[in-house]
Amino acid sequence: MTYRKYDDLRIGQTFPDQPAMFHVNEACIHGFRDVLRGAARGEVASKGDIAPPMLAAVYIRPAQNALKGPPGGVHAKQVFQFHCPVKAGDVLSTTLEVLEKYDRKGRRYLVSGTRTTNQQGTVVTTGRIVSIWGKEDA
Amino acid sequence: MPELFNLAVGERVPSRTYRVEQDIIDRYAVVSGDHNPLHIDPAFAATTPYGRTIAHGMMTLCFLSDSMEEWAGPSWGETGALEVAFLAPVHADEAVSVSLEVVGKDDDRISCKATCSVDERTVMAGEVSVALTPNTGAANGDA
Repeated sequence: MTYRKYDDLRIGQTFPDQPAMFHVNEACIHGFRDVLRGAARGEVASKGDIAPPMLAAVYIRPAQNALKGPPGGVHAKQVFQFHCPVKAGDVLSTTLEVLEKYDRKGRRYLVSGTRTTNQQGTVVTTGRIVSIWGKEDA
Repeated sequence: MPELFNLAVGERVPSRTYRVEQDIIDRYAVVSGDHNPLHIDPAFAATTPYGRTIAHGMMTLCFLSDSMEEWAGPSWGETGALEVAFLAPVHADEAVSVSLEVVGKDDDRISCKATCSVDERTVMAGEVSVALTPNTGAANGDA
């Protein structure tokens, strides 16, 4: 797989070329809650077809993947604002925008913003990610 | 009313604990689509400064959000906001404890300091806030 070079990223650049689509269904909601239930040893209650708010980590992922960063990147900070519940049957569109780039202590940081809307055009989640770019091959 | 909303500034809710195992990390990678080898490939992780696989930071954040669903009810998914920093890695066979302390409250929202820790080590910290009254689907066109 070919990875994107950090130096090729531009402020204001958006990913992917078209908003990343994510179809929310009961299987992905239940699969996500099952992982939490496994970690919580059964203490996670079912909420029916309403998605856990942090399904955001799943539905923004295709937009993050479109960055095509090298392996080994590290998530440093995260901001999320939940504006509207997500439920099974929703079709979500997410765009990621490069907001900032900087070097600190020999590490290359990338700040990006995400915006997700549902099939009605309503903003369901906005986010801000600070990540450390993975090591690129020479 | 959710128990969190009855608390005053300085008060805490009882912490919740989540057990992380490599199987949980692997399953999270599948459902999230985050297949960074740092999380799931021991051979690759051994070549990094971490020395072994680490859990996804977002998974730790999911523990916090899951706790907020319990503590704040549906208002969390409709009006919740969070800002956190991932401070230290979480490894397999570690237990993450999620705790919350109220740091601000007015007629509309409650704000809390959120901490996720493994034993005495803080692995994630930040602030969460949520409206005391949910939107009840108004923003989704259901009202």
